[in-house]
Amino acid sequence: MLAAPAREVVLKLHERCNIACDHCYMYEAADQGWRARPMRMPATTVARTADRLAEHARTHGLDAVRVVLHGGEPLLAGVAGVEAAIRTFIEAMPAGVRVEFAVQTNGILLTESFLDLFRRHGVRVGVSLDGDRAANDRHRRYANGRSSYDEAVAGIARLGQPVNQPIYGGLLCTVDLANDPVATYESLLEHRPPRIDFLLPHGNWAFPPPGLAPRTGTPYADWLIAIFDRWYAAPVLETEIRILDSIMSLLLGGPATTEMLGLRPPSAVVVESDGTLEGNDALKTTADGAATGLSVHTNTLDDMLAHPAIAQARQGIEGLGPQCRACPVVGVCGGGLHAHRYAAGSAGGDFSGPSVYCDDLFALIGHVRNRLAADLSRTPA
Amino acid sequence: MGSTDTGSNLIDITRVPLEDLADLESPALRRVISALAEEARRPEPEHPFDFSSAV
Repeated sequence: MLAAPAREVVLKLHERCNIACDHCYMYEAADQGWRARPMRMPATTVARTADRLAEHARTHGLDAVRVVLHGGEPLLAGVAGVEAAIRTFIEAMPAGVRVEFAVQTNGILLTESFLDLFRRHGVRVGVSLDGDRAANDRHRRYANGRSSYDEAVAGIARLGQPVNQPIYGGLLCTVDLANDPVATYESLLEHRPPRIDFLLPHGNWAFPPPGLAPRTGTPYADWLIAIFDRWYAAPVLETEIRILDSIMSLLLGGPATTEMLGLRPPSAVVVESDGTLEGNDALKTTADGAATGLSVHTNTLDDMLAHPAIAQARQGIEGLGPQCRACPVVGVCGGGLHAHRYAAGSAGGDFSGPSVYCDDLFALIGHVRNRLAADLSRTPA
Repeated sequence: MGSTDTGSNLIDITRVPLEDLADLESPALRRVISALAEEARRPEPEHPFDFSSAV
């Protein structure tokens, strides 16, 4: 029997970066596989990946797929290189399969030339920004220590022009407990993003996230609750916040739009610059890494989904341990991001326990639930 | 009480009249409920693209 299909390919088009963020899971985590891979994905590997995705769409009868141009910094591939990759995927797709594109960038190279290309192909652009200058400069610096803030914000300003509204995907902010949550949210709002997402910094039981070793309280829940209360009570909808929207949707019986939550199998697979297939990028933060030993040059995407480690991560509630299965919020947290459950132990790691963020997710979900339940109880019957 | 607390952690809104949902104070909650209503009208469920390291 075929596994639930992948619908999204994360294409590691360029595996180096023009800045040197000290919290980057690509370079600063346990998996140093990037050192041995090509800096830039060769055209033959792009073409092979496109063929694999087209084959997968045909096999599973998919009518829409998405390609996320990712890195490193994908814009280092240059305008011509990025356009060639986009065209390769468009040309490879069978009739009736819509291919959507997104790119995640640090914004520094977001020139008018790139924006023109992205408008022509409807590429949704997400920019990574951690808040105001002080927040951003905690981590998002050049290798020589210089701030990247001015260049990133200039890129976002170009993206924020009205002509680019259809392609402005939003801002991606990695949570740092040292930053004030509401000030961080409000500084991001100044860039008028249609969507913000707050990422929990990748970590697990072997490599705990900042602030959770030693564990006292629920600092990440507290941080996000402050933003939830500010955002939820605003008289107008200021922006979407993916993690909070997803929690509300799941509590009301709907889907999540982030793989960090819910019990559905994640939609994405990762293709590294050498064609290596991986299930989840965040597994780079585990001691065992993300490698599967499979490649688009020799394997189909279904081969990858059948890989034991990948299949286990896509099993939904059946893939979780007894503590998670018995938990009343498992339908919302889904056990958290697979990589956040990692503990060293058996070969390949042990993912049977709860997320390293379990206490925080439980507290955050509870807070949101209480607020929704109270508001819905006030509606006249 | 307009909504039904199921006793689990999910909240059942199916018995809340749509016009009452439209009167909810929080625009963030109204938007999520609108999205759910739109989803319910689709003949086939949408499968969100959910890769977390891109927005």
